[in-house]
Amino acid sequence: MPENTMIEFLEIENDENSSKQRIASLINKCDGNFTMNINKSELKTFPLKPPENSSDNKELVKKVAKDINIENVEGTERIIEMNLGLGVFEQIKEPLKYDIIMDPKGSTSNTSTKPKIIMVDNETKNGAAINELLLPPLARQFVMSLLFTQPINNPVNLTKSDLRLWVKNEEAALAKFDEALEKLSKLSIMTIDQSGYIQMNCEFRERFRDCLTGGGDHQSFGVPCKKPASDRPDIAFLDRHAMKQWEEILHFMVGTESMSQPSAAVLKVVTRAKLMKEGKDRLMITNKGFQFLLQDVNTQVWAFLIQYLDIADELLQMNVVEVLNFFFMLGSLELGMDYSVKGLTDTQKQLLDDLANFGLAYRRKKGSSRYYPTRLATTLTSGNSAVVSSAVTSSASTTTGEDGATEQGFIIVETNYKLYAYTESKLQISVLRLFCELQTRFANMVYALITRDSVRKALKHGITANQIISYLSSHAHPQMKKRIPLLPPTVVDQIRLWEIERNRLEATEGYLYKEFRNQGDYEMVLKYATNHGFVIWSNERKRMFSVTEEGHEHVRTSLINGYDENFTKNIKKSELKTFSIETSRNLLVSDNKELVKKSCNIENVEEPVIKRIRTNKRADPKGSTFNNSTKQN
Amino acid sequence: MSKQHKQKNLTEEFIDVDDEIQTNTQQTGYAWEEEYKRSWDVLQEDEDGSLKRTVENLQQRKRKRLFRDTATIRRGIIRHMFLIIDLSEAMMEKDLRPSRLDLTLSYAEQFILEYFDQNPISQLAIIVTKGGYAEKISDLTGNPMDNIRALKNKKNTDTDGEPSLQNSLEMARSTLIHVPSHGSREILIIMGSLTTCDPGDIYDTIDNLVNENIRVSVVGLAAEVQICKLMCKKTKGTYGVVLNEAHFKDLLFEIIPPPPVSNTQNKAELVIMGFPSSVSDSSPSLCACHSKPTIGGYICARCHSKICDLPTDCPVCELTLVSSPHLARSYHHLFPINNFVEVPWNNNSVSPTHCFSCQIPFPSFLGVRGGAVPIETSGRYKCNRCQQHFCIDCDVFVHEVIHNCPGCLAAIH
Amino acid sequence: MNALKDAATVNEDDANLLVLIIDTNPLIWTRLAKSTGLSLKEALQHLMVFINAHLALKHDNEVAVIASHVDVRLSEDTDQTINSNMYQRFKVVNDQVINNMKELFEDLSKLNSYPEKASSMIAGALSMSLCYINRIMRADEIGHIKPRIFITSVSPDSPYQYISIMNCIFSAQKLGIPIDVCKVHGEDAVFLQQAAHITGGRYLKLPIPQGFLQFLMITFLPDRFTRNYQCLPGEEKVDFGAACFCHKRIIDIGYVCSVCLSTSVNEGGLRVVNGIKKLDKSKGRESGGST
Repeated sequence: MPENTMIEFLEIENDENSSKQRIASLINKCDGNFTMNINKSELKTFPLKPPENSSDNKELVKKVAKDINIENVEGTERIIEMNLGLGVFEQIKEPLKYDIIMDPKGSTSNTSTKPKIIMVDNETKNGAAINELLLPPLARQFVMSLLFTQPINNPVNLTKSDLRLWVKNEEAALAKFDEALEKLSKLSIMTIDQSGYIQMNCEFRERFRDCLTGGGDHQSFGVPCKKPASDRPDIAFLDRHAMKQWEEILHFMVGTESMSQPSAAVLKVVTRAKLMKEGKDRLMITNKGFQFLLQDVNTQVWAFLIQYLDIADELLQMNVVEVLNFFFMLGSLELGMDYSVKGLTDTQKQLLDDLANFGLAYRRKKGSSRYYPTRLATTLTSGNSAVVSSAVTSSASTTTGEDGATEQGFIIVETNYKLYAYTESKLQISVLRLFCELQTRFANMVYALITRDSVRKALKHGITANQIISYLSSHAHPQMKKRIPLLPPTVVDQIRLWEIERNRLEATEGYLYKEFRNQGDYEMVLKYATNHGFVIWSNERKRMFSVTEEGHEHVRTSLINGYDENFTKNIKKSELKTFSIETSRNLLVSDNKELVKKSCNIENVEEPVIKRIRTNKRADPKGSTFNNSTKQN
Repeated sequence: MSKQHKQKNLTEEFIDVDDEIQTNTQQTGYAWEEEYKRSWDVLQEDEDGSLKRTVENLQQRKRKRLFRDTATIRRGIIRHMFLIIDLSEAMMEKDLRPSRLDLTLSYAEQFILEYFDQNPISQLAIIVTKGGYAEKISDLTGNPMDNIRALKNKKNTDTDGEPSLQNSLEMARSTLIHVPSHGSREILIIMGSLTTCDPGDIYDTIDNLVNENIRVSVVGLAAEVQICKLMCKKTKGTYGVVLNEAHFKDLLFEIIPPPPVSNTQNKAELVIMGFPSSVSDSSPSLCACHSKPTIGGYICARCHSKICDLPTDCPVCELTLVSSPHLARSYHHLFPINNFVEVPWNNNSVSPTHCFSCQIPFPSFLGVRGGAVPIETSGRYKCNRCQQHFCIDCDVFVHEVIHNCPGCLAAIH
Repeated sequence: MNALKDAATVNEDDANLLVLIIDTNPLIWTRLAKSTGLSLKEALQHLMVFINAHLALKHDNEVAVIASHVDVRLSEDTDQTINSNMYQRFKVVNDQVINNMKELFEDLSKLNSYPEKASSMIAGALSMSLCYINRIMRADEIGHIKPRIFITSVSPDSPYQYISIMNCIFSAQKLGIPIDVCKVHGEDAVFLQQAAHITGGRYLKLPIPQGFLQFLMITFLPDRFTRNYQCLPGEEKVDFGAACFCHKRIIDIGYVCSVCLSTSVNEGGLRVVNGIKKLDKSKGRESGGST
């Protein structure tokens, strides 16, 4: 290095002034060509000792160690695990190419359950995305801390207790610690082997290091065009395009006016995802579709893409790995840049057309060699969608008028159930109409009321109260966002109550025991069942009772075989008179005089049935506050 | 406007500022004589029908740029203050929301915190007056929490009868005369009542206060009272009557910067202080101040008793205990920074495009000219020493919070 | 001395704004490269990775870099884009920092004008970062952005900057901004130690300069949320003994001038202190009245 030799020269000089001059020229020389191609090997690493901690910490570690039960730490977030069959996730079953484990209710709630994707994929190498999407902050920190502690081929030699010294010895901190480790091992980023040493996945480590240092030659971040097109669309245009395309899909779902028929891919996705179903002459929106509408854009896009992925394989004959790769790449592109289609596989090119249709990308014309990711795409991999949508708007609102405003949050809810929405978007208004009574429409604002009827209407469509509330809060006007709590508690509570109001009936499957010959038989069997806690309902006068499903098996065998000593002690088997057992899925209400024997599903309770139950029943523990409802019916 | 004058006057010579206000009132007449202002007339839409620009202008005007006196003058850094709070029935009035008393108590708490933040080696005591007598609810102490705790105690804040100005002043005076001459002696009265119930001649008390060099400032909540005004004038304090809630706070917080003192008034002296070392034991031990077991704390340098918090007086040997950052906290009063001057539009050709410190772009002159409503100000403020330009936010922030000019510090002069 | 209690105020979802102050004092860096083998260039590489790691932690994390130089004006680079989309952003930010650094050093051609004891302008950099943070926080109405300051320091304390540094520290404390300090080289910087302590940040003197990156990643990368749960190096107690103005000794009990707050061992020191005060006067830093 020229630098070093010069410095030695410097030291010899006594005259300060000339030395200063020398430094100046020297710095100019050696720092003039200041290029920053970070070479991994230049970053020296050292074996690392865990930080010195106060003695009490160590002491406490001993104490707490056995209290911690990793098994109990269940991941609360819903996760889609995808095994791409590329080797790292060997413990997951092989035959399927990918494997989606998703709670069916997953799509019904707010951002926290936004589908998250686990993948360890040799081809994307998109470690950073994974890191950010999936890990709790502490786990991220662990990954970062251990990333550079060892040369790449050396494993990290840390035991779990070493790592625990890094967190404070408080209950909350330890809980976080366990959560972090659990997540890390679930994702196979770190594994704990038998000897208690923590191993970090070398592959992951190397990719991630590459990602931070800019090493490697993978092209997982897109190939930008050499020079920008002369007429490249500006960001505002892209935003408009994205919004237009996306809202077109939503409009189609809501069925506002006769929009042009969306593309085949869109149709396939919406039907496949059961967002819409075949109606009389056209597609009709389903409950799930309504729920979909209330979610924020980012969640919608994800849900949509996952469904797309689902059909890509069988219907469109696409390679799922390539599709996924492309999604992730799209997520890491820079808005407003032009990217070249060079280097994309044919599948991906085909995909690009579809995505352009969804509004995730923009191409000037079909065969164009350039494409532009839109904001919908570039925010794919950011974890916090609330921020995303606000970020979308902060820049969008300055450039585009209408769409920006709608995204920014435009709803003001007052404690008196009045709702003011500053929007012109037909889409937003029709979404509002799902659960509000629109009152007046102004040039840039809609005034609506949240009423019992309007909310019940929404609930009947399968929208949950939580969805309404989360929609209101995620679209709240910036002015509202300053308040704590964000929405007026009265309104929130009332919407919840309106929902609970519908759930006064609880369906329990069970078996009805009836037609006992005498009181003795009845009481004996009832007593037996009661002692074991199987009884759901009983009526002495009619000599009927109902037991749970599992209980039935138990009671029946005991009755017939007399296995249970307590049971058969007093009565001989022969004395038991026959009585009939009716198998049914009973709809039970606590104080119901007459049992509804028909098999009923609460979701599809027909109006007359409800009426009968209501008229018969007054004292419902849950519903006592809603007596007025009986009158209405 | 008047604020500016007020500050100037306050520092140049110790005349009270009410003359100033009076002359102002004469010019403008009473509030009810003024023409009714229609606030919406001020708003004007620009070409796009947006109010943004007008609103911005209004805000700009609202944002007060305080012109501080920047001459290096002696200030009484070590202060001894009595806060006298009126707890008469007049305090139950609801003309200030939620009530005079509640507002006073919450402001007093903020005042105490800010007071100790800005004057870390000063002391404060609280006297309440009601039913014709005065009661000291906390002694002179350097610990803000002691004072606040006393205020929080509901027993101490019942209202009753009439206040006694003289009793409370005498009570404060009897303590303040023992304060060493290097420290300033001050009394701050928050007065809701228009009357006082005194056992003797209050003029004698005022004369005594003047002789003892005790400065009395009064914040009135109702209306101007002649005796208060006279007292403040004679003792070189300030007197103000609140207009609204915000003004109340302004008036109170004006007292917080250490007052200037004359050279003759008190001599510079050396005060003995202890710089305790912090300890953290493995097992808890009792502290000398609250007799509670604590693990960490500070050890008095003279008597080795343990105390919880700094700054304070050692409860055993009464040594003033501080840490060096506490001393440093007062430095910005001693070395204030220059006011920035507004840069007019015309010499904009050479001016930078971004605020020096926060990098926010300045409004462009050309852009504004294109618009319908010209912005009155260029939004640039210049430090005369380093010639750097700052935005208004940074100007306010630099003068009110940091007390450093980023421009001057960025280069060696 | 109330260190910040963050647990209540910091949310898991909050974005973090990191203001990185790099002390680029060339005199010291060249010396440092000689003695320890960590040159400014290498250190910058490490810092670049650190910045990338910070941006990778969360998609809406932001970073601003301020170079605290010898005497020339501060070169500041601020990544002002709020919506830092990280992967591509890595490159953008890195390039920007490096270009500005380059400019800074090219500007040094007038290096001859160095005063005798050139020291880095930490106080100016701190004031600037506070202004910048103030602006960002003002723009962020819902309090989503949690700022912190991180100083990599090589220069020794400059007594001339004491007051201004202290002013910065107190304003940071008031605004609830922790100041982290990594002392890469040389003696402990007492001022910065106090800064970290008072604002609830971290202070660490680098034991192995070559392992810079490791220390960065472990000690200084955690955001304010994670810090609530982690115990990390550099949290030991700091004592603030006051130094006597005349002998520069640390004292337990001393005499403090009631006007200018200078400290001395005994009353005899008064004369010495006054001598200093007169000296100060010639530099325009006298507090007024003399005794």
